[in-house]
Amino acid sequence: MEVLMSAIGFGIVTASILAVSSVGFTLQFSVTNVFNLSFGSVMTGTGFIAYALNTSGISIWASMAIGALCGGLISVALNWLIFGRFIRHGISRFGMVIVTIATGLICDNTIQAFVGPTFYAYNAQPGKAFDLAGMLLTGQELIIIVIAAVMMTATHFGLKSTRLGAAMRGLSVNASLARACGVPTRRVVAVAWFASGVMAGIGSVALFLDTSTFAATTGSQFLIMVIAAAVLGGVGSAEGAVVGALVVGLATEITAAYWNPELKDVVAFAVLILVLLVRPQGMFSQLSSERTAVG
Amino acid sequence: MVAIFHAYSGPNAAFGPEAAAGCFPAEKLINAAGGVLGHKITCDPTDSKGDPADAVPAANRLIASTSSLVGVLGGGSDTATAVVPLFAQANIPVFSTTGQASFDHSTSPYFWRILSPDPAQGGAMAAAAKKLGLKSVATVFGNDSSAQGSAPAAIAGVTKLHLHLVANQTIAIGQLSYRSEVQKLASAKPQAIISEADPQTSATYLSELRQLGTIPDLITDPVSQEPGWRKAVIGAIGASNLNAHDYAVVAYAPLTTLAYRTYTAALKTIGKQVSKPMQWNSDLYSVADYDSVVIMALAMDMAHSTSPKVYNTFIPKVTNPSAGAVVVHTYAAGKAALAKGKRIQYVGAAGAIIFDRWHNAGQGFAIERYKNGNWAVSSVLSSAEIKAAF
Repeated sequence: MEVLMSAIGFGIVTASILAVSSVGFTLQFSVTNVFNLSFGSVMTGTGFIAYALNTSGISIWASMAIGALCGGLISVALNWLIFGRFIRHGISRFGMVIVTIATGLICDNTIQAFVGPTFYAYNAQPGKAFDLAGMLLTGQELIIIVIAAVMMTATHFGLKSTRLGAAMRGLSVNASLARACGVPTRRVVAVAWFASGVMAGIGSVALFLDTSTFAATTGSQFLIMVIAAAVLGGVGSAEGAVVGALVVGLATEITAAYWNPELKDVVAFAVLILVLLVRPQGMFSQLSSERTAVG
Repeated sequence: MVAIFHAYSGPNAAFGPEAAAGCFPAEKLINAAGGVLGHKITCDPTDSKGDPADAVPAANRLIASTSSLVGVLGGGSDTATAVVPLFAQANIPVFSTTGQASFDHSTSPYFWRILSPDPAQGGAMAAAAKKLGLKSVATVFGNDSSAQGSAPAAIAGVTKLHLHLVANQTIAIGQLSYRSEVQKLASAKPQAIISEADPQTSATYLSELRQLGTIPDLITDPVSQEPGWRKAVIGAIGASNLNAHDYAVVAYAPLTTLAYRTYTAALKTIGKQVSKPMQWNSDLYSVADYDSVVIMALAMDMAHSTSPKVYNTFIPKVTNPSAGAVVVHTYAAGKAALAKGKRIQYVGAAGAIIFDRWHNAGQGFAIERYKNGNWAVSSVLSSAEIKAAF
């Protein structure tokens, strides 16, 4: 029982880190229909901005907040300078994926050119460990769980209870109709990119705190897990991303605790495939596959 | 041209600069001695990305586009299986730093390995645990080919030496968390962990282990001496923790010889090609790569040919002992002796290099500690101590 509780606790930490990033990834996709594989690079970039702030004496949590805002601006800039232009030129969905991969590679290699092929760590202590019903979690991990919970709740209510949220949901269902109904498409799309970048920033600092060290490619390295959580929940669904992150987080930790740690990814992705066999659209998604990109 | 075919990006991005720190000093010294048969040697970095999927096309491109290619430093454990056959097929000698056991009996005429293979490393790590007087140990190895090369021998060695193996973990590298694995390990209470994993994995694992309040002693391999590994792990657990607990088990060559002093003097001057070159001054991989280039150059001189196909067969003739051979420690001395028609035995910065019929050489091992900004030998493992682990 003690092992199970520990694994659940650790799984929740992993899920919290994944959830913030997955929701950011999927929120932007649901509004713009751009499957953005440069998301990992935005994570890395904001992680390094937070590092620069943190090593200049600013607390890690303030660095996370400022880094997240910068992540939002980077994300908006990428859409404005690159993605939006391709969308307006009528690029295919597949072509757009390639553009995002290329953008990610450019960003990763540019970051590496500046920071070098070495590792960095934030100046932050994990804090005292607390025993919560058999789950041994550090102060830092508890803060990450709280941040993730606040972010998820805010996203949920933002989408369900505000005009902007309604506009985003409208765009995600039918962009043309939303536009015809007077939804300011460009502004809503910009907000979606900004929110996605902010979540990439928060997710990256949480991730880099968790892995203790990070390098120029760490964000992209973990993108596959972020996408797995998003796909499992249903791409385009914020609630789905949270549930997907929980499934991935718990599956990996319970596998490591009870079975073979070498197979934790195998189990997580086997669960993903099994779910998609039963529900190809993921657990929560209601998006149509006929949507076009919105820039 | 000698290609430095190693990872310059990705998780093993330190391999490239590490090999460059061997190649460029050799280039400098060889060219200062007049070059090889009137030709200048040049070191050319090529990024293998540490991944066979990227390394194979990069190797093919290199072979197809570089007519002056005379040798290759590279094919680390991450890519050797994929690329060594490609270079061999093109008749290009490859001096590899891979430790994989699959090359222990390599029949490729173009494959050469100066450093000891991974199983020897694994056995030496177990022998080190015994030498340190430990009774109970755990093994934690990454599931990549590099770490898995030494894992089986380390585990078998622990049993053979009658140490208590309280936990044996093969961990998936590059994970977001190892908390469950760490908790299982901590509950087994090992006195020390015998471990090899990449920087990011080691940092995450050890950081989470520290959160549980204790870090056992670490018996690590030469990867833990790489600046990138140390930077990552120091970021995770702090320098004082790492230095207090880390016992690096490394191939041993006395770094006081004329060959080594010549190498380090040249290393100091290559700041344009390699960032902070002196960080590699006691890295045996860099030292071995330096020796590799010198050996290639001397073999070309002896063969009176820069053709890889021709000089390849002369490689053991400049390193292995033979009657009447003059022992030389530098390229200049070797070139001068050859010019006088003498036989030579190059004893390099890594010590004597004696290739067996499978083109493998190897060294003894030592336990090193990091003290006052440098690695220092704390004890040398005798061949009997290492043999007992097999």
